This record gives sequence, structure tokens and C-alpha cells, in this order.
Amino acid sequence: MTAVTTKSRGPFLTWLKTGSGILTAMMAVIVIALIPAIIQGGLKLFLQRVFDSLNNGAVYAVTAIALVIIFKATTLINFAGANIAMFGAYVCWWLNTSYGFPIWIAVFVAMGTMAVLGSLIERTLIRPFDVNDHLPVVLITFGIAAILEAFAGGFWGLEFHKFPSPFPSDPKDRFTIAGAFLRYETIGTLIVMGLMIFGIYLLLNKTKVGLAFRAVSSNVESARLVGVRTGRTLQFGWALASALGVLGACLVAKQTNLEPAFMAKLVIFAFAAATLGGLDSIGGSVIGAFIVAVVQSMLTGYGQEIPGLGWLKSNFALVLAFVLILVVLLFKPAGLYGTRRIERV
Amino acid sequence: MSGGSSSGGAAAIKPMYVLQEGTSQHRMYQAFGWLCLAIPMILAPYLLPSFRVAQLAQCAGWGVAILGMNIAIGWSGLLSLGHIAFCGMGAYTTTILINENSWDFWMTLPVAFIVCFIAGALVGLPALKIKGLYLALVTFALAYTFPILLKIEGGGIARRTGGDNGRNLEEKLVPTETIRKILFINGEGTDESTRIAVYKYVVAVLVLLVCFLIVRNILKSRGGRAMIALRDNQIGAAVSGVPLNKTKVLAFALSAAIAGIGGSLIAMVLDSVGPTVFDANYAIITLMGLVLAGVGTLHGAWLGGVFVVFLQDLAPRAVGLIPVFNVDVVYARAIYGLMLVLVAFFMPGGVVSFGRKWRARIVQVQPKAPDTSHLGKAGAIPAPATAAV
Repeated sequence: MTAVTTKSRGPFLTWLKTGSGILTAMMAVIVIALIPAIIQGGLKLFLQRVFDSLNNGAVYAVTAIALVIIFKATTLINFAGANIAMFGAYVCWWLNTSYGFPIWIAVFVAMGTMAVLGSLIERTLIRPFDVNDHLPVVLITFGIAAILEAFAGGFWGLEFHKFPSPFPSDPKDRFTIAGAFLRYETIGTLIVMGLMIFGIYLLLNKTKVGLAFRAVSSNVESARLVGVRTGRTLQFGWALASALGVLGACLVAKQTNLEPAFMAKLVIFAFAAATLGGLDSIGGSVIGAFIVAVVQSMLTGYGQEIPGLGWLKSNFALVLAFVLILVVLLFKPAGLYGTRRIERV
Repeated sequence: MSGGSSSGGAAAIKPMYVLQEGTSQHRMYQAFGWLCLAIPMILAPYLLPSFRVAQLAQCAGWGVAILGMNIAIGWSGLLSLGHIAFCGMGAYTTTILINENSWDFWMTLPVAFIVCFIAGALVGLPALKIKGLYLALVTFALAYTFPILLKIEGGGIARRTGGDNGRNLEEKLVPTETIRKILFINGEGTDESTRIAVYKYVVAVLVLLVCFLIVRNILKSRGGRAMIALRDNQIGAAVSGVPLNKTKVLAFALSAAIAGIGGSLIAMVLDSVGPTVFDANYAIITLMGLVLAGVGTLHGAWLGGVFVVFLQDLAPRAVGLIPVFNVDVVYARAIYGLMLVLVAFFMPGGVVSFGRKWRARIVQVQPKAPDTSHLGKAGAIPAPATAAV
């Protein structure tokens, strides 16, 4: 079968239809589209925009991984994930400002708290339902999101709060590369993201609980038959995803400031990243996150100069994310690196 | 329409009355049911203060929107969270046509229907490929994107929609002399704003009634049955000759169109439109109204709008009763969320199904013996079909 397609289409076209092929083509299109802008605006400005997008990319990646983990385990899109993360960031901020916890300890405590909350949510609210019956599960995740948002607003107020940066954030804390500034914060965020991906890799591939998780995400029924405690594994998945979401929220809260809806505004980009990379592929969603971030930064940065795109302002990037989700699901529903699922209705 | 529900479990509890479908008792019972609905609806505008009447008119508008959502979510199994965007499209179509082209309100309804039908078909086309939760994801993103799309400055969009501020309807719906006489709102005791509120209420309820009848008949038609079959078992429906793609797109487009009519009504009742009425927050509130009233129940349309409007009124007060929290409007959202969770757990069919379960203890309608001459063999099992509607 594959041999026939290769013969009739040629190896190049076949490669172009794989995830890597599409990725390369997308990169090529982005680069070519940017050439005139780079020539006009100069390399310094271009580099600055790339550096600016790295931070966002890392945050989208962390948030997208949180979504992907839950999707892998339960084939459920977690609409509450953003607000669980938001609540965790509030907990972190509260511990830091009211009780004087050092910021990193506050982050870890918040991650632990929300991990417990996530596993509780799975046990009490999600597990009683059949995941293949989508409506109740969507209602419940929506409901949890609304409840958490209300409580965050009720406990800590609706106004914006300044979030302490977990990294050196003085205006002078930066490298200068070809005239563009690369802030320590960006590097720190990238390092944390890298460590986190490495940690998840170790957790999923080298530990027993990771093996169980992979077994469950591959086939729940078979996993149950060979003695994997599926319920606990799913609970572990929720705990892990909630903790990661909180980490992502804490990394981005410095830029966006804390308010009850700050993650809900951001999560569409994480959805777009995860959809682009493949909703069940951790590596793919990281790549997707950086593509989304770079395109967002370039469009909002250079968009004003392109005739007819003068209306592109930062929050119009949401439109871009929506279009991206729609296009990917239409033409490559599995995303770049996701596994194709055969629907058994 | 008030078909026998839960015919399987009803054997355990003996109902007080058993009515045979099609007998005169059954018809009287049905008429009684309609009167119970109609009399309060007719009397309400004359008995209640005018701001309550305006709220009830809003209820009718949201009811139409929820009826539209129900076509997609309840009867076709297309899980859409973004119908609020179609509502918004309908509302803005009406506003722009009235303000810029000085159309009559009634003339804008068909246009809103067509605009939303086309938009629904465009968003629904992906629904052929995008299933289940993916569709929820796309439509969720649509709900978030719609308020931003309104603010695009290119192409005069922001100028027409009013951007952040929204727009007021320049020409309000005012009853003519004949209508005043028909509705008995010519009296000396009332002021003009009350009369207008009553008129708007009547208009909204009439449109809701028309939409209700249209949807009811569609559900009974071949296409409606195809929709329900598709929801219950896609492969089975395809094998039985239901054109999957056509049915899905038409169902989604129709649901969007009816939601658009609801949006037009809301614009008419509120005399204004704005991005905050059609944002993700309202997507949650309307979803809550839908599931609370009853997913996949026709009569949910009467109740859904009531929940949407009055829960926004009641939730802050209910929170105020709890002594632990300081009275804070913020917690109202928690109540919407709690409602969603509780409904999913305890009332999967919403209030309407819940009520039917209780009604079955008092009155049970025995379906007519299947008339196989015109239904064919499928008529041998009528119970699921009636229960679905």
C-alpha cells in the first residue's frame, strides 16, 4: 500500500504529506513571508520579535502539554485546565505575598495543591461518567472552570495583581545579541520548560507509573485486563496535568498580571498549539507552541505594515488561533505528529 | 408532543390515570397542558410591572436561541459551544439593517435567518470531519473569537458594529394603533414604556411560538428523524440511508439560523447590542440554560430562556443568603458552574425530563397501536421515537 503511493506520487510528495514535511513547508512559508519585512525593518527588530515570542512559546508549550496529557489519558479536552492553572497561580502569589514564601517554594506548593485538586476532580467528578458521552464531561469541565474563576475573583478580587517574577527581572538583566535584547526571564522560562519536558520524558518512560500511563493511553480496556489500575493512573494524569498547568501559569503571570481570566485568554493559543502538533503528542505540541508564538509575534509586529492588515493588534491573534485550529482540524485532524485515530462510532 | 416517557420503567409505579392516545380524554389533557402554558403567558404582561415584562421578553429571545442550540446539541449530537456567536450575528444583522438601511424589524428576521444559516453551514462544514470534542473545541474558540471579530477596523466592520461600545437601535419597535387596540394597551392607566414593553413581549413570544412549531414539525419530518438517528447511532443511520453529510450540515446551519433569530429578538428587546452580550461568558450561561431546561426536549425552549435571564438575577441574591461569603456578585459565576455540574450528575435530561418522570406517576399516555399501513415495520417500536421528542 505504501509502496504504491510512493511510486505514484514520488518520494518528495509523500514526505511532504508527513508531519515533518508539512512542518518544513510551514517554516519555509513563514520565512519567505518574513523576508521583505526583515529587509525593511532590519535584523535587530526581527531578532527582538523572535526573542519576545520565545517566552510565549515556552508558556504555550507547558500549557499545551498539560492539555495533551489529559487528552492522551482520557481522550477528553479539558476546558477546566486553564482555570485550574489560574487558581494555582493565585495560590502561589498569595503564599508569596501574604506569607512570605520564597517564590519557587510557593510555586511548588501551588503545584502540589492543584495536583491534589486535579486528582480529586478526576475521582469525584469525571470518573463517574463515560468519556465517550461527551456532553456531561464538557458540562462538568465548564462548570469547574466557572466555579474556580468565581472563587479566585471572590477570594482575591477582580483587580489585576502584580506577580513576582521567578527569575531575575530587572530591566538590565539581559543579553544583547546583534542589538536585540534576550532577557534572563526568557532564558529561565526556556530552561524550566526544557527541564520539565525532560522530567516528563523520564517519568513516562522510565518509571512504573509512566508505563501504566502509557498503557492506559494506548488502550484502557487492555490495560485494565493486564492489571493496571486504570482509575489511579488517570488520577495521576490529572494531577500531573494540573501541576504542569500551574507551572505554565506561574511562568506567564509576570507578563500578563494576575486576574481571574488571565489563563482563559491564553488557553486558546495552547489549544491551537496542541491541535497543530497533535493533541496526543507531547513533542508535537511543543513544536506547535513555538510556531504559534512566532507567528503571533510576527503578525502582530509586522502586520501593521502589510497593507490591508492594519487592524492586526495583539488580541486579534486570537482570530489567528481560531483559524489555525479550524484549518488543522479540517485538513489534518491528527495534527502534525499525532496518531490518527480510527473512529469507531 | 407530550409523548409517553420512560415507558420501560413506568411499569413499577402505577399511574393514577392512563389515557389512550388519540381519545378525547387525551385531547382534553393536551389542551389542558397548552392552557397551563398559555394562560400565564397571556396574563403576565398585564399583571407584572413593565421591567418584568421586558425581562420575560428577553426570556423569549433567549428561548429561541436555546431552541436553536438544542437542534445541534440535543437532536443532532453536534456538541457546539459557540452558538452564542450565531446569536450575535443575528443581533448585529438586525441592528445594522435597522440603523444603516432603516429597515423594518420584521424584514430583518428573514435576513438574519439567512445570514446565520450560511454562517452555520460554513462552520458546520468542518463538522463533517470534526467530531465530538473537536467540534466543541472549534466552537469554543469561535465563542472566544466572535467579540474580537466585531472590533476589526478593516472593511468598516468596527464602524458598523460599534466595536467595544456596541450600538443602540435607532428605530425602536413601536406598536401601531391597530395593534394597540388588539392588545388592549391603549388604556389611560399605562405609560408609553409599559405599552412598548408589552408589545415587545408579544412579538418575542410570537416568534418563539413560530420557531417552536417549525422545529417541532421539522423533528417529526423525515429530516428530523434522520437527525435523531444520526445522533443515536451514526453507522446505523448511514446504513438505513440517512445522508450523513447533508444532514449534519443542514442541522448545524438550521440550528445556527434559529439561534440567529433569537439574537435578533434579543437585540430588539434590549434596544442595543454589544460584544459583552455575545461573549464566552454568555456561551456558558446559555449552555447552562439549555442543560437545565433539558437537552433534547422541545419544551425546554420555554424554560431555557427563563433560566438564562432569571438565574442572572437570582444567583447574586442566592449567594447573598449564604452567610459565609461576603455578598459578592463574583460568586454568581460559581452558581452557574455548580448548576452545570449538578445537572450533569442528577438531572441529565434537565427540568423537563425530570418533570416528565413525575408526571408519569400521575398521568400516563399509552401510545396508539402502531399504524403499520403507513409507517411500515419501523412502526412496531414507536416508544424511542416519541421519547426522543
